[in-house]
Amino acid sequence: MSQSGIDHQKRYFRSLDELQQTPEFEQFLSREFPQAASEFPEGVSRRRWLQMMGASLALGGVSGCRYNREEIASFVVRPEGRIEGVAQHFATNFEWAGRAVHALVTCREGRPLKVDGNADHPAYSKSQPSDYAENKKLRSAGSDAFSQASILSLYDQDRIAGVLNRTAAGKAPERYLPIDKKTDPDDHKNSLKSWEAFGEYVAASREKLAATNGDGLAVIYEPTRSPSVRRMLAEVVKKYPKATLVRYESVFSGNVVKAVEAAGAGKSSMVYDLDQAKVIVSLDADLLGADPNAVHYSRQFSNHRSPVEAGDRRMNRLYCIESQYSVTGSAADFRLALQSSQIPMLLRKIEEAIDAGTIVEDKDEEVPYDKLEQSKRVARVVECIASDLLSNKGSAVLAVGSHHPMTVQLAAIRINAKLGNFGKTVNLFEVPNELAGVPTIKLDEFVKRAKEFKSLWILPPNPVFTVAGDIRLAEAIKSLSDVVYLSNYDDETADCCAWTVPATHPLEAWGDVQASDGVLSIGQPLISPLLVGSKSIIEFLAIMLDMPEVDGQKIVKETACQLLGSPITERKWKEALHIGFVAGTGGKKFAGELKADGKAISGGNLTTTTYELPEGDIKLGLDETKLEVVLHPSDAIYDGRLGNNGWLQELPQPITKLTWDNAAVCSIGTAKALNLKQGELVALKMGDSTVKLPVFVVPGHAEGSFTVNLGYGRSKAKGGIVGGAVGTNLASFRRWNQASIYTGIEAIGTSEPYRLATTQDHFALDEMGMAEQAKRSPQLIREGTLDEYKKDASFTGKTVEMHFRNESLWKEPKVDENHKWGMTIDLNKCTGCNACVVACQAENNVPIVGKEQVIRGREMHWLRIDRYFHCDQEAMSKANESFKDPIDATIVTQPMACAHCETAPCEEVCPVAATVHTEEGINAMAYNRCIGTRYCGNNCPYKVRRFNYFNYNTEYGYFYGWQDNREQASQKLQSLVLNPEVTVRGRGVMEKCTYCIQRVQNGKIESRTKGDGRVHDGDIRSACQEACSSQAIIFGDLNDKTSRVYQSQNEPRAYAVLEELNIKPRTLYLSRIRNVPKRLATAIQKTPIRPGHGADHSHESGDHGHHS
Amino acid sequence: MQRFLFPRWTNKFLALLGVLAAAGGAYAGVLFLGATSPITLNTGYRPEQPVPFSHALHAGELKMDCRYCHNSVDKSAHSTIPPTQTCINCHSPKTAAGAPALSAVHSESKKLKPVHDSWRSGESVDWIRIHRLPDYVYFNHSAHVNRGVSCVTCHGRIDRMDIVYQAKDQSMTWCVDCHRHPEPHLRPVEDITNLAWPVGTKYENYTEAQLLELGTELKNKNNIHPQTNCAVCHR
Repeated sequence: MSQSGIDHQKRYFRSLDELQQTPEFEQFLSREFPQAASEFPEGVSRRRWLQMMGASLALGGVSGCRYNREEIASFVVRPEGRIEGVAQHFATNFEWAGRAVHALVTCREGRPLKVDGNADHPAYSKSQPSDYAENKKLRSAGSDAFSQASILSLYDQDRIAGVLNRTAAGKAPERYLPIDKKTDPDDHKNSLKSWEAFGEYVAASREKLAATNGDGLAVIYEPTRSPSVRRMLAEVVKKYPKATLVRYESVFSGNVVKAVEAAGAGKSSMVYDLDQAKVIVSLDADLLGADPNAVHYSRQFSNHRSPVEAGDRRMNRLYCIESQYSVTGSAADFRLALQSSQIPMLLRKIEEAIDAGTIVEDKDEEVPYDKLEQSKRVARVVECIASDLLSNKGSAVLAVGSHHPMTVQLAAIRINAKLGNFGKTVNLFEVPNELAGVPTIKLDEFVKRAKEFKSLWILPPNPVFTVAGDIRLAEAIKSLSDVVYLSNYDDETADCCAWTVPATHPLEAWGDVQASDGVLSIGQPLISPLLVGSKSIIEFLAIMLDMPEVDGQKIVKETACQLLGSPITERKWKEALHIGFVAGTGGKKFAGELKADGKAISGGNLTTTTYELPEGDIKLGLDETKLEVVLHPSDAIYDGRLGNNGWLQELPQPITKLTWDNAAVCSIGTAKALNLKQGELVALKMGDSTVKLPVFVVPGHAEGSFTVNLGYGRSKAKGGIVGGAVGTNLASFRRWNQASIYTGIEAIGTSEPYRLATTQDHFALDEMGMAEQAKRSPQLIREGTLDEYKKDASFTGKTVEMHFRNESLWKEPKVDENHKWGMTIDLNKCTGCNACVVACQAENNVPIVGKEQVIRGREMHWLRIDRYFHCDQEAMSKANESFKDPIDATIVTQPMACAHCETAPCEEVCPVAATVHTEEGINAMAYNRCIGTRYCGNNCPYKVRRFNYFNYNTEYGYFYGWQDNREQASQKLQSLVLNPEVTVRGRGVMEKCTYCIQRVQNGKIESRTKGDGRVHDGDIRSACQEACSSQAIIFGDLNDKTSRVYQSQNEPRAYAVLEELNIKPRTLYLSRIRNVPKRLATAIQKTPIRPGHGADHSHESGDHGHHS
Repeated sequence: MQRFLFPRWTNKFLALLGVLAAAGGAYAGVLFLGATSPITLNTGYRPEQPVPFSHALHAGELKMDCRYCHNSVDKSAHSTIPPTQTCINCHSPKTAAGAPALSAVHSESKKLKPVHDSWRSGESVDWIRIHRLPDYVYFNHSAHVNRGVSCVTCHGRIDRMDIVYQAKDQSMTWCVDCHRHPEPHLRPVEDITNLAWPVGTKYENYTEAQLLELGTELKNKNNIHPQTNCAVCHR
């Protein structure tokens, strides 16, 4: 094999800096922390620093000799079933960031601390992997980053504590001024007073409305999955017939509903059943990432990702065609980058091929896919997809992104119908809707007719910020004097409203939500409202409407009775609360005929011509005259409503690894051709509106397309302590009539610098000597195709050339006979969705550090997800000259945390034995011994150790940059989120993943006090494992031969990262297998280099010639 | 510029300086090691509680089981201070009608006022914590109590204390000593709250050696292998 071939094979990279070996990257590679990392915080002189240190030393002696006197406030009457120090779990359900969350919440001492998925909920229990169904302990649900972080929003200190009353827009509120504590320092009393004032206002307003039958009243609401909220909204119109309901969606997805209705299925909800799907084609649909059902889909998808065939179970295949690089794209077997605006054309070609009905056999082609010309590539992709869909009729799914227009939605329904997928892989559930038949108007109409209204109630979070710039919502609101806004924050919308009423967090209130298939799921409060008086939407509406029943529980129960059609007994109600859903509810499956014949759907007000897919040639390469911008809600902060959540702001976004910012993401070719540079601003122009954004280059992004996340750019004053002045606001750029895809764009580089905080190069693993490594060094990432796996299941070991077995320098540790903890991470299942990262943060009290500190490489995440690109180097070098051909890059994500090496290098260098090994193989940290030499961090080959440069968690709290009043962020409310089972680390201490030692120890103790003395598989689950919806992470006892972790570590796919160092990590990875069709396999995929083949005698060799 | 030089005669003070430094170091050392030792700091800590509750009376004389009040000791990491309700079970105050609702032991005692106030107002009684481990130590009562380590091992003869004090130093060495050699501290699980053990049981006449043998037997029988690595207590 040629040298260049080896190069292709091995070049996995995390960023372009790495590929080009820039000095910036070298710094991250060769230094444990980058150069500037040990400097003092900006703005503090050395002298001041010494003064501070001196003072703290002097004060050290003053504090007393014994611990402080501590008081124990015992209960007067202890709640039934409460045992102090033992966690309680409650099932609850709520709507969060557009998703239905079916949660099992962990409470300690009455304080909700962690949100995980409820495995008993039908949404998850139906899709348990078959081998888990037998053992109840193994069952799990998984969750996503949003719901994991929801707990931090509960303890957000920026939430308003009382009713705000403004006499004029933009003015500081008159009533309840928590900021001005001079007049009356008692917040609580002030808050109560403000509620009294609001009560008077409500009484007066009720009278007025009753007199006019609600004439002039408008209620802005967000389409919701909560039947109680819908019922209460219907009550508004029932009580005040002249009132108007105004529908407003911040994240546009209405076209799916409309298309389903047009196809004749009424207001059904469309849900895919990926458990039944052998072939999944995703066109700009981020099924495993941004989709509201992503958790559910990831589980179903990963159930069929094992390359081992068992019975009729075989590995599924995921095609992904998209403009942005999404989570789904990184998990795909085959991905094609294509502008979103060209997807309708491609869909037309796919439909035509399906109509033609020709199945092209999937066999090795003479010219591999990546050596084809552009136009032939598209043709081959279309042929492959159509053939695969046709040969898997009834077990295939074709999904399109919800931001695409009606034409595309209808075509997708049509194709699925032609393939006979409905009722099998695509299900329509007729979910009852209380708002059916209630007239509503859209927000733009409300703004146009604003003069007709007198009073307004606003229910969605911050519409003034999330609405497109050409809708003058703020002015419309300001023109009304009588506005009540239900909100958590004093935000941009509150600024325009006369009254702002504090809203509850979903964990504080009664509520309900329908699962995607319509199962009624009840939400119960886990704690009474932290800020006394705050109201949920249903309670708020009940008060405003003067309903006889204002108690949340009774409203929710009444809705449940109505849905069931019969009263619920107290016993059944308690049962429903216990398991989290009401048995016997759920939408009927739509079984009627879909109007899906012919080219388009006719009927209703739809005609054939309007909804025909456009025809045209597909161009993969860059066409500078046809640039587009595609807007998506952020993977971190959704539409901006989660902006004040530090965990999400600092969460490295799945593909870009960007924190604390949004950017214009584009491809290498586009950036080069338009002369754009990463870290500089680009001006995106559409008509007369311009927006300036920092450029971020992602290999494999569609040419001529910019992806930008929404939700950023809140003002410093209104965005809150965390979310203020982060990123760029796109409101001025957006148009109400255009949902997400903007064409006719001009992109002009400005060469203005901008600092982005991306973690993609942080903690890069060194593979030793870039030249020598191609031959010698192992692959951090190992992957192959399903074909290769079938020929030789042990290819994973042969990825590395190993000529000798290392002798250990150290005395091998003694392994305890009771337990031997270990972990396996399946790269074939991991989608890189980030749920584990936030789960780890919530479980282990990992602080956030702020943008400034992230740029210095000081982020504290114990678990990071390394995302490696892989692409053809030759094409890359050619691309540097001309940008005609797009560069396809594949991605493998690799969660990386402490691997608990048996001969751990960190332990050998600690001068104070602060990091030591337990008999069970856990590399433990004794924080109190640590003196902060950082030798261990230097000696860790995985770079998973984190150093506390400051007291992030206590005195500076959530630290957002020195000399900024944001350092007061960690106030008392925020500290309630800390897990009492884990030590809160202070400045100068090293920390890292402990395999959730608190869960291990408690699990062992419980097995002895409550169980049979043995720890069974599934008794102890790490936080990341519990959060993983795709079951990629398995933790357990390697001494137990029946455990899943033992079995998975003995699979032929198992490998250790950097195994040649002979450090014997306890965390092993299972190699990535791509089920790529033969015709679409690239040259590298067809002839992978396996230097270990035949050279290493410890591997048995299969007989097949891969060396060319 | 002319620099200041110390005159020669000051040289003899150099030795004195050395002696002073050494003495200072020794003083600091003694202060640090002696004054911060758990034996000096913790043992004998005896704060005054809001209610002069006598363990000697309740646990000693009346022979109430420890778990009547500290009822989560075998289920949880914490033994828990009982809720006011537990006190009220015996010491309920007089109601408006003039008669106590439940059993009325000393229903009008002034010493019980904080308990009665708490019962009426719903505010907690603020007890003072005596046995306190640092925050980074995760001790679990249930892990010990269910395996035959008695209350008396760590808390001393509470049944003889009118006012409870910290009897043992509860330092790390003290913990680790027992984890290394648990045998002398093990007894049958049913006897853990019998602070006078082995007095009054069938082991009453056992010699030290015999008790040690019993401990070894229990250790093997119950598969007790206490670990001494850091992660056992520090997380």
